[in-house]
Amino acid sequence: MMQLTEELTSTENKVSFARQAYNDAVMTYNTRREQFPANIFAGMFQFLPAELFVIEDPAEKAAPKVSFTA
Amino acid sequence: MDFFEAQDRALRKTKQLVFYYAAALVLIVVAVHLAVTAGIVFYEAMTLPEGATYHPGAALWEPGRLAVTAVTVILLAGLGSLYKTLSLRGGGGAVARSLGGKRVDRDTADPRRRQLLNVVEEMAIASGVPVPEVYVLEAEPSINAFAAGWSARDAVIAVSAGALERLERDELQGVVAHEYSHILFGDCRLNIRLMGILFGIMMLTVFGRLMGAMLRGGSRRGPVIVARGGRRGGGGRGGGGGALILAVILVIVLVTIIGYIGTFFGRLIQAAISRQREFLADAAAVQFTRNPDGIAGALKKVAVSAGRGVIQHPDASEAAHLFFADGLKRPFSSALATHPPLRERIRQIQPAWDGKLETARQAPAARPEARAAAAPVARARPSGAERISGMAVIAAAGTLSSDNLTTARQITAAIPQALDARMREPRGARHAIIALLMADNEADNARQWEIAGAALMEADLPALRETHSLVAAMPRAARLGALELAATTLAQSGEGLRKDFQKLLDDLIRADQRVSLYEFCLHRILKERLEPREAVVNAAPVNHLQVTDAVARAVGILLSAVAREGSESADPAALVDKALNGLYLLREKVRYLEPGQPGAEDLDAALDVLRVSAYAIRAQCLRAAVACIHADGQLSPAEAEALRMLSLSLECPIPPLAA
Repeated sequence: MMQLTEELTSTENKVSFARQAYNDAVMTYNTRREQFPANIFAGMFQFLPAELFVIEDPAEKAAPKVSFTA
Repeated sequence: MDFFEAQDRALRKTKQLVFYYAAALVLIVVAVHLAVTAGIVFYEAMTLPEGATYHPGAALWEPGRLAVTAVTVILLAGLGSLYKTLSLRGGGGAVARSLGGKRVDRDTADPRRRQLLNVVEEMAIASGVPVPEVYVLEAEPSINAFAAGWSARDAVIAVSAGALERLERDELQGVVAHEYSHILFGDCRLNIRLMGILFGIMMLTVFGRLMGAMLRGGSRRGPVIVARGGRRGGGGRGGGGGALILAVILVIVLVTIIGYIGTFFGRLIQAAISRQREFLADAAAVQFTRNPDGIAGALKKVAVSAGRGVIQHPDASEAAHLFFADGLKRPFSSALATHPPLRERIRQIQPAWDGKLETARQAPAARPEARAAAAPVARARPSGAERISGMAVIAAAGTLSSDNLTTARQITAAIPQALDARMREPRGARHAIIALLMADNEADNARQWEIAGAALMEADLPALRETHSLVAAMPRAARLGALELAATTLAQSGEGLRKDFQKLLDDLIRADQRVSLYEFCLHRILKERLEPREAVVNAAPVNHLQVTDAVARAVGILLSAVAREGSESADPAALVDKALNGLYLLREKVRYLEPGQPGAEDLDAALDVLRVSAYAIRAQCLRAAVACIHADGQLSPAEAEALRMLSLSLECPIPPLAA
């Protein structure tokens, strides 16, 4: 039982941390893209700004309701 | 904080380290030279003929002697550093083992260690570092942890037994995140190099101590000689022996002092290099976990705990700079401490902290509700108790998500006692697995019974029939649980997957001329449990989010198979397209694969590729699979089970779904 709850927590954390790590990377990239000297090259070679991963649908954002009634 | 920037800074620090090291060596050479000169002057003064006045001029400065001492000292320190560096070539694992660490297996059964592994994997995702090996310092009751290694590839994270016992989940997460930042920012490499180099300098202390011990061993004879030699007047030669001994004692005392100088410099270097980075690592830990309370709570616990993080292992002093909290007892802590004071660190993380340490004890109950969704277990656990009984956790966790627990309990209860008892011995376990493969519809079922009847002995059949009726009466959601139990029995009995049993399973699966997703997953899970393929099982998940062609292809194969399975009516290609809609990683590259296309059936290989891909990719892949299966608006129990098994083979377990 404890183990199941633990795995649940861990899985949820993994998903949210993956999201977060992606967004961290996007932010670093976008910041660097606009800073000198990278901004010159970014413009020249068309490095477009990356998109943050945002969940628009609040239903997707909610932690999945787990009910295991068989 | 940018990764590359931090790496550059670590490199600059390395140069600084070389400078400090050179400075320390020069000072040591000078000191040793002074000691030797003092010894010689003393000796000459003692052995002068009576009445003569001593002019030390010539003995005071002799370039040759300086050269010899310099070469000797540098050679000794260099050899020491070289020796230690070579012995550390094994990387982080070697360091952890040398400090009494024991590796945590990936399939450990201990819930605390399981949690630690989970936390480590989570932080690997959050920081984008490959999952390191995990060690536990079994003999250390205090709260501490360290990361070591030459690169992110061979880095390890070690946690003391005390930390494992006493920290909450989110505190442990903070500590592990702190160590990850050391890996990420290249501190580990610097630290392990520092460990090797410092040994050279600090070794002189050992050398001095050793000579002192030798001298003390011989001191019973010492005073006699000294006394006899002290009787002067016997002329220059007679007094020489005693004076020589005295001079040697003097030199040894001086070398010992010099050894302490070396240790002092070593500590100073450790402190100079590692202190600032602790703040950086604390900050990064907050970035990774998005939760300042976790690491602050851990620091507070270290502060209130009796040992204050002191590591008892004798070799700890060379490794002091690796640790999460200061691992050494020090009389004059501030100047030589490798870590900033705990209070200061806590204040940096929680500027509003009132300085009261007791708060750490009842914190979780009062913690902000915002994180409730992220960490139900950690929040629910009462932190005051050092060891929490399982019942307390269940009771506390039950208030958060009571359905989870009741349903999970129902599932365990849904496996009938009789079946559970049967599955505890290998034969019963095999029967249960066969029963799990039996089809529901009459025709296939009859054919499968024929196959089973041909393969098994006559005497086994009644038992198999009983097992089958038990399994058939069981709710669908309990099947995976039963499979797990049966696989565990087979694995523990050591018989694994026997050839004849394997063949029987293959035949049963193919009885209806096709392999359903459920059958495939069942077989795969069994194979994974019973014949661990080393290379695949041990491969750490890659964390970069790039969808390579191989990964895209694997996802395509998987989704196509799921789509074909999940929809009897709709066009599977359209289904896959719809499922991928909105998944930013996969949308671009993944296509539907017709059954005829080369490799389209090779689910096995696809799962092998996917299970070591980044979690984000796997998560999206699973979401697409759910969308495919759920497209017709209903999720049959069989589909739900197949999905869960699929997620299990991807090592992204999802809880049982509502049927």
